[in-house]
Amino acid sequence: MPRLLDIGLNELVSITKRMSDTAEEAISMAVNAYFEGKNVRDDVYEKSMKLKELKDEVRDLAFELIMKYQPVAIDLRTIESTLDASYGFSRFSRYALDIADLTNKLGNLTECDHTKIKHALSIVQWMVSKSIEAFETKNVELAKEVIKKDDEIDEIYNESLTNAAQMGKVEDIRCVIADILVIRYLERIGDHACQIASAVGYVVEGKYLPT
Amino acid sequence: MKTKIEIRNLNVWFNKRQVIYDVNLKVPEQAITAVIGPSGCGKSTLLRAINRLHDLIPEAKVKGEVLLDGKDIYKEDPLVVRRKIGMVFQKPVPFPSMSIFENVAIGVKLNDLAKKERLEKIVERSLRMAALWEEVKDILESPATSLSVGQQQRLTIARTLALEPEVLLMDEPTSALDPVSMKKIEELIVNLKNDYTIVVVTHDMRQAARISDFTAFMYEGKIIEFNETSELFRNPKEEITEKYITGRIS
Amino acid sequence: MNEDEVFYLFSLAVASISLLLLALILVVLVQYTLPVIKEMGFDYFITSSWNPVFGKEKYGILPYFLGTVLTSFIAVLVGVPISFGIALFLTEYSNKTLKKYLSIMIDLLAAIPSVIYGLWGFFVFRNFILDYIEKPLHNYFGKISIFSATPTGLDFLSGGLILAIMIIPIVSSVTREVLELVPTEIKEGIYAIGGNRYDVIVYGSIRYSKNGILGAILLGLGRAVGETMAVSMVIGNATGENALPRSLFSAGQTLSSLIANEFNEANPTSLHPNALVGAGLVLLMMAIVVNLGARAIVSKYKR
Repeated sequence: MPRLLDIGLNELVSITKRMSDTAEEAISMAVNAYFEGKNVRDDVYEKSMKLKELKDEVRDLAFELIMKYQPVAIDLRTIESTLDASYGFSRFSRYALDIADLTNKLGNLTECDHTKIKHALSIVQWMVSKSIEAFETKNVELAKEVIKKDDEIDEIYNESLTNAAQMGKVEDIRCVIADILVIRYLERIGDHACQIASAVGYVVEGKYLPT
Repeated sequence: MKTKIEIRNLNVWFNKRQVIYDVNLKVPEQAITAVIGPSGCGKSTLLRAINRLHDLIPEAKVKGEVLLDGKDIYKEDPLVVRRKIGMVFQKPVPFPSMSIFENVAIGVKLNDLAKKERLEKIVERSLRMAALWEEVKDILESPATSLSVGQQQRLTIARTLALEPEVLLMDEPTSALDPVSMKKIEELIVNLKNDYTIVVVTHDMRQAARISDFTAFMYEGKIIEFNETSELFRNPKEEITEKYITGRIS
Repeated sequence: MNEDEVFYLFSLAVASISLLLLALILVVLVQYTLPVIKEMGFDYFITSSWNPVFGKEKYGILPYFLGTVLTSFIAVLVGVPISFGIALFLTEYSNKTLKKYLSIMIDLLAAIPSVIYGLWGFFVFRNFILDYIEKPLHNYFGKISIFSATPTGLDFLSGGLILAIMIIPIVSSVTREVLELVPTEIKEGIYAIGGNRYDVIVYGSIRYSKNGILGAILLGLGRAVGETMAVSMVIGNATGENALPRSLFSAGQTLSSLIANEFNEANPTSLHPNALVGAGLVLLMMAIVVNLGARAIVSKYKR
């Protein structure tokens, strides 16, 4: 017989799943539009608001479950980490919105060299999808891999900063700014993926994985 | 934190049936230690071994050591031990045909610990500590049975405190009480921890979580896990603890 | 009429029989007693002469009333502490096996027919009492009136002591039952504040069960008041002035032993049978008072 608490926990899981799907969509939508020079700010904004709503829903349900059932041990840790994760998902869309904003503010950037961004993007998208997978399957090993990947994206960001500083002659300042900013946003998304991965450790072993 | 009571390799049998297996436990001083576990896991039996109540049951056999400040209580006079280690029971039963005053004073009288004048002070002090003084100060001569059950439980706590024990053992002290009385007793227990080392046996995990600093989980006569309460409830190390506290064992 | 009503009427009828019987007995007793009271007046209750010889008839039942009171008093005085000791031992001290067998033995005491007690009392017990209790007491304290009469072994003391033995089973088993009802919480509570067994018994068990114990004593008293056969075999069966309890060692008579001794020889045309029935009436009244008292106390205790 399922415990009453389990019914609530399952509901929590299904909201979280909707959040992770929406967050992934927001990121790919924003980045693809950036490459293609399309303005999708409003669409991304809509997804971001949707995520904010779901985040509040998670919070309400989490506190309701804590109040009603006073969960302990893995039940409590699951709820705590779901709160962490839902915050992470909402941040994903927040940075996706920032990326979408760039086209909006700086104009069409399709002419710029996107090599670095694409490289960073591939890493971050992997991190996002794997952190979500690790969270849903409570896979600590996978979570650790996600956290390891964070160093790579940090490096790319630092590199792009140093490169920009050392650049003597600039052909298009807009490309440099956009480059740095997009990588910066991706790096932040990576950080939040790491936080989610770290929370997987908390659920399973009671200790956050070191990031 | 200093250890007040140390239990070493404690085993208890009733007739041939063993109910406590090799229990080792260090109870920290001036803290509340809760013992939780399913019915019949031996938690009450363990508690009773700490003030030698099993001596009174011919069928019970106790092996092992219980050290109070490093001295084995099983090598001392049980009457002295029980004075130092007070016990509060599940069902508050005042002593028959005694007033409220006498119920608190009786322990001191039995042990010839005080003259009459001091007795009044001891009774008042004990009732104050048990948060009952204000409610009974004008009816000290009334029969103790006229009090409500919640008040009676505080009275039994007061009568235990009157002996100025060092340790308070409580065997499910609130399980016979309504929620309001339960809350009062819980607050009382937490307030008492500044002066006493307290061990509470409870089947109410939430209560253990609310009031205790340390929690021991017992299962089938063994201590499975002992840790700081917040840690044990958030992040139990043993699977069986996890199953019990999350309600997955019946 | 359905089954329910039939059964109701049937059980009502059966239940009424007991009440009817008691009423009938009372009526008959009173009816038989009235002539002797008419003849003797209130003297019947407060004088001591007893002469059934026709023409010189005189009946006063005071000595036998006092004899009943005295023997019952001795019985309670001696029997209750022993019963109480037995009950305390069984509930507080003995282990389970011993308790089981001792309880059976004590209950068996109740199953012994009273005539056997009488026989044993007459042939064995009274000699024991004579040699080891009465003679030494008489020799050393003979000047005190209660020990002044020459001991014979057939006297109030023997009667009382036989009764003491006979009430032990009922008093000890009822006392044991009420002591067993003392909540463990009270006993453990006293142990937990550093009390010993003595404290538990004095401040816990006895205080808690004092009404029940009193009831047990009254039940024993009821048994002692009504007991006939054994007493009549050891009490000496004196009549008239001689039966007044002047000393523990003088021969005496109780109401019931008087009836048992004399009913066979009573001349139906005299007042003798009426006088004996009157003794029975007084005895019944005493028994009723004691039993109702016991019942009231025990039931109050049970609540």
